[in-house]
Amino acid sequence: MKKKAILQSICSLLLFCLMFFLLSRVDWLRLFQLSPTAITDKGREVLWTICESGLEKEHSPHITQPVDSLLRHLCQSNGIERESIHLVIAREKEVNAFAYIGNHLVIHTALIGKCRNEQELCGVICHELAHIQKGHIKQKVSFSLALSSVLYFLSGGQDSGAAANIIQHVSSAAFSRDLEAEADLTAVLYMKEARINPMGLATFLEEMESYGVLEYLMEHPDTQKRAANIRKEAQGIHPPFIQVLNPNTWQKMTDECRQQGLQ
Amino acid sequence: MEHTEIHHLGNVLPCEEEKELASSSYLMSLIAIIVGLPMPIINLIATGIFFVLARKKSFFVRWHCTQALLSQIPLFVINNILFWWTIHLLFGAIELSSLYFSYLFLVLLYNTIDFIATVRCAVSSRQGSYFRWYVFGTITDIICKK
Repeated sequence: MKKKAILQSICSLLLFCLMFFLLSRVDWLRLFQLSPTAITDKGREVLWTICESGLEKEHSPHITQPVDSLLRHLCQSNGIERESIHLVIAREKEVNAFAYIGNHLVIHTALIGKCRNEQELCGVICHELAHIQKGHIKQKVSFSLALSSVLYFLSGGQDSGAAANIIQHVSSAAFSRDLEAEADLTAVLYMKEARINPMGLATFLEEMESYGVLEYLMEHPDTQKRAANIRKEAQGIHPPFIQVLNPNTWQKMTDECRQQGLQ
Repeated sequence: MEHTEIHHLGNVLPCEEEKELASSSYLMSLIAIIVGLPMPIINLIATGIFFVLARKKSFFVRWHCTQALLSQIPLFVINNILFWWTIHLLFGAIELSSLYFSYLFLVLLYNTIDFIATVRCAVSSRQGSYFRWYVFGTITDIICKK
């Protein structure tokens, strides 16, 4: 009886494999006229739609335009196509910024309000830009993201708020230490090329540490060590540095962001 | 698959309650598949629970519950592979390929056959007879002792 069971199991397995082999002989992609990235693109689109639904977008030109100018300068200086990066400024009281699949760069207004100068904001932008350019986002695709999408689909798209929260949380959650370190060092190089003082990133991290901005620190661990490494790397980069934004433009932008935080 | 009359495997005729329980073990997996989509584990859990609850019942009930549970194991494995393959595709970890479609169609075919066979089993057990699956029927015979 046991021999019969083993024989039948082997036969079934072989039949399954044979069927798979025969089906794999067909070029399905060509038949359906699909590209290898068709599902990936659609998946990214869906995930971003879920994530976006939980964000309140900032439309004030006093905030969006200066940040866009900074991003454009940083991209141009480093040979990155500006149009390939989708900048989103979200009206949020949480001090945070994160890169998201599909080349989305999300910056909270509270973070802009916390920056003391444009070097600090450029540091944060460069750090997130590095995550995008180095392909770190793909590596962070996790079970939580998958689960949140399944939850979304199971709820028939009704519970988008909960799914959006999970996705946003996972998106802004910490990368591994190695990836964070790589993003920091790349950010320093980006700032060097853009002739912006790279100490800005280090001072921003130290500032967050001294203020104890919990949400930012939890999602960006080892802040002191990272700041020290950035300082070490930036030592060899000497002035002259440039100022991209007009001081009045900068002041107006940060004031508006701070006012939002008080509301 | 083969259809076996009751006297081949057991001399005692199952009562109405036993027939209903045996039939339910198959129907449970069908309902769980529909309810549990796209998570391909619900059907296995449902038949597993049914199996545990029915293990002290008569041979007829136990035999069908065991076959129902066994039939869900490969289904769980191949559906899970497809599920996680799709998730990886959605999040850009891998690219779409003809191999994915080959596997998708094979899984669909397997699920269709499994569905038909499960319905056939549910009907047979309700009528008080044994409908033996290829492989699973044989393994069930080894596991289930009178």
